[in-house]
Parts: sequence; C-alpha cells; structure tokens
Amino acid sequence: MDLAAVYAAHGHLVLRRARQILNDEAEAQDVLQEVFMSLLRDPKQFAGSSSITTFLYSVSTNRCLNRLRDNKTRQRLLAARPSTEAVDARSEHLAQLRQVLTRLPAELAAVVIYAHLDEMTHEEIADQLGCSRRQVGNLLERAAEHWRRQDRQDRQDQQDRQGARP
Amino acid sequence: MIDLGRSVPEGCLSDRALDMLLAGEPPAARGAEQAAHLAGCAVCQGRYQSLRAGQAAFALQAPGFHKLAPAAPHRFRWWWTLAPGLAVAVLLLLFVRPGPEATIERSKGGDALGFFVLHEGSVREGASGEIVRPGDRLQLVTTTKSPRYLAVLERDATGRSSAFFPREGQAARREAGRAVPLPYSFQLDATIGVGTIYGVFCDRPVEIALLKQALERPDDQRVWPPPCNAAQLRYETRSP
Repeated sequence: MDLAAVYAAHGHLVLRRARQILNDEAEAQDVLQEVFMSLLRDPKQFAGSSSITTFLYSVSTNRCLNRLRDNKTRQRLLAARPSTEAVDARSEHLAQLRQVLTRLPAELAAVVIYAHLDEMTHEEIADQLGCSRRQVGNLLERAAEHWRRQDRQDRQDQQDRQGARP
Repeated sequence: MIDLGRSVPEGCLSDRALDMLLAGEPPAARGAEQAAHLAGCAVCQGRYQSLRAGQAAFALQAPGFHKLAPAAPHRFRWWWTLAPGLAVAVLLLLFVRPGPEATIERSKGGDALGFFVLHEGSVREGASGEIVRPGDRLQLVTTTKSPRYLAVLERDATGRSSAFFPREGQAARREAGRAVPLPYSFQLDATIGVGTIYGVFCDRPVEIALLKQALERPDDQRVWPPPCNAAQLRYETRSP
C-alpha cells in the first residue's frame, strides 16, 4: 500500500469527519495525524478486506470516540451550551448529540455516528460494520434505550438535588 | 435519541457513498445505481463537487506525508491558518468553475490528467492553457477506469525535460479512481513561458528513462512505448 498516495487521496475525509464529530479543529488535526501515523507504524492493520474508504471511516470513528471519552474533551462538550444568538436547529441538535456520544458505550456510539451524523442507510452501516441490517436495527434500538435510561436517571438526579436543597 | 433530521433530501447519497464514488470504489451491489443517481441529482452533484474540491485542497495544502513524525504531534498545524481562505476558494471553485470533466485532458486510452492551482492561498481548478505565476503550486489529479502505471513528465518553457512522478525508476501503479491526487504537488520556479505536463498511462511499469527519451524527441516524432498513452496539459507561467 502506498501510504503517501492514500494520505493525499483520502486524508481529507478523515479530517472532515473528525471535525464533524469532535467540533474542534485542533483535535481533528490530531486525529488525522494519529490515523496516518498508526498506519505508518503498522500498515498491516488495513488488511484489504474492505475498501480503504470503509477502513478510514472505521478508524477515524474509533479515534474520535477515544477522544470523546477523554475527560477534557468530555468536559468541553458537556460545558457547551447553545448560543443565545439564533442557531439553526441542526447545529443545536448536533451539540446535544455530541454530548450523548460521550456517554454511550463505544459500539453503540459508533452506530449512532454512522446513522445520525453520516446519515448512512442501514445497509451502508451493515457494510461498514460487517454485520447484518437486523443487527444495525438492534444496535440503534439499544442506543436509544440506553439514552432514555440515562436521560431518566439525569432527571431523577436533578430532582433529588433540588429536593435536597434547604 | 436526539433527532438531527436529514441534511440532504430523502433518497440522496450519503457522504460515504460519495467518498466511495470519488475514490473509484463504489460497492459492487449498488455502485451503478449510485452513479446513476449522482449523474441525475443536482444536490448530490453539488455535494460531490464539494468533496472533490476538499480533496484537492487537502492534497495541495496538507503537509507532505513524509513530514508526519511520531515525536511532533503538533508540528504541521500552521497550514490550517489558511483554512478561512481555503473555504472561500472552495466555494468559488464550486460556483464559478465548470464541472469536473470540462478541464480534464484525456489520453487516447481514456485516462485523464487534471490539475488544481494554489495561488496566494486560494485554490482553483486549472485547465489546459492556464496562466500561472512563479511560486504557484500545482496539484495533479488523474482519472482512470482501471489500475494503470503512471509517469508524469514535464517539459518546461526552456525545453528542459524532467520526471515529476515518480522521479526515477519505473512508472508507478495507480488504482482506478476519479480525480485522484498525486501523493505530492510541485511548486513552479521562476521560468517564464509555456510548459507542458505529460501524464503517461501504461499497462506495465515502464522505465522512466525510456519515457524521458521519448519526451526529448520533437512533438511530431514522439512515440511513447507501445503499452502507453499520454494526456498532456499546457500551462503558461507569466511574471507576477
């Protein structure tokens, strides 16, 4: 594999997705560098069983999820509040979704990224993950259920805190 | 779960599908259907052009792959300071330039050579005959329907010949794809006048020295080695 050619031809998609997922330019650049440095150190991780685009979608998603779990990034996203100025609904929902991603298990967070951020069809997600469309549906249901539980718990915690105030 | 809604109309292609079409690697089962949708959908065409422009801009402005070094995690951030200008350039590229096929020069075998120009921080798509300036950076892109061996050679305004890609050895294998950037770009020196870039597409890895010999012959006597076809692009370097 000619890594320099892969970098020139496909680096843009790694960077674009990292920007979209992380919403931070410096972190997106770090992900770009991590992905290609990792390939440089271990080119065999791209086994050629999928297309290079599929492979890069997968590794960039994983790298971004690692960063979302990083405490600093997580605090940044949780502290982010919608601007008081007019923002479009999608931007606001994107900010909320990034917060959701920090709290979902990695497997579920990845499928949420493919479905909601990348807007892939279930067929594409199945191809991306190497599983069946039914499994994609199950994973998305589990992600939604996980989030509902988390949301209920958050509301309960908030009520408890308010009730505990003198 | 947070409902983002769709950012593109129902039935349109995902970015992943467009990325795969751009890379010349559409899935076997749906590739023809996706290509047909792309051909007939203005929304997806616009998005595809945007991704393609982003790819070219990245290839032009990203640091060379050889500059990625393990011990220097932030060493190449400087070039992202160009990002705002780049964004404007990409938008201009999308709205004021012709489509991707308009400026690509094809060889007799149907393989194509195109280029983008980085001039003072902005990127534009070049066409044969493009006026450029010393110091401009050119990013070449190739379009091939099947894997080919490629050599890119140049004859500058003084008649001097040189191999640009690869610099020596044999023509390098290129996977099939549309507008795939070469691994590196090149910067124009101070030579003023008309230069010609030849993309030589071969069925086997032909020696660069052999191709250079062919290039050094007069235009009307030039014969490329038999398994090769050439596409050529002219550019004119003018004083700043």
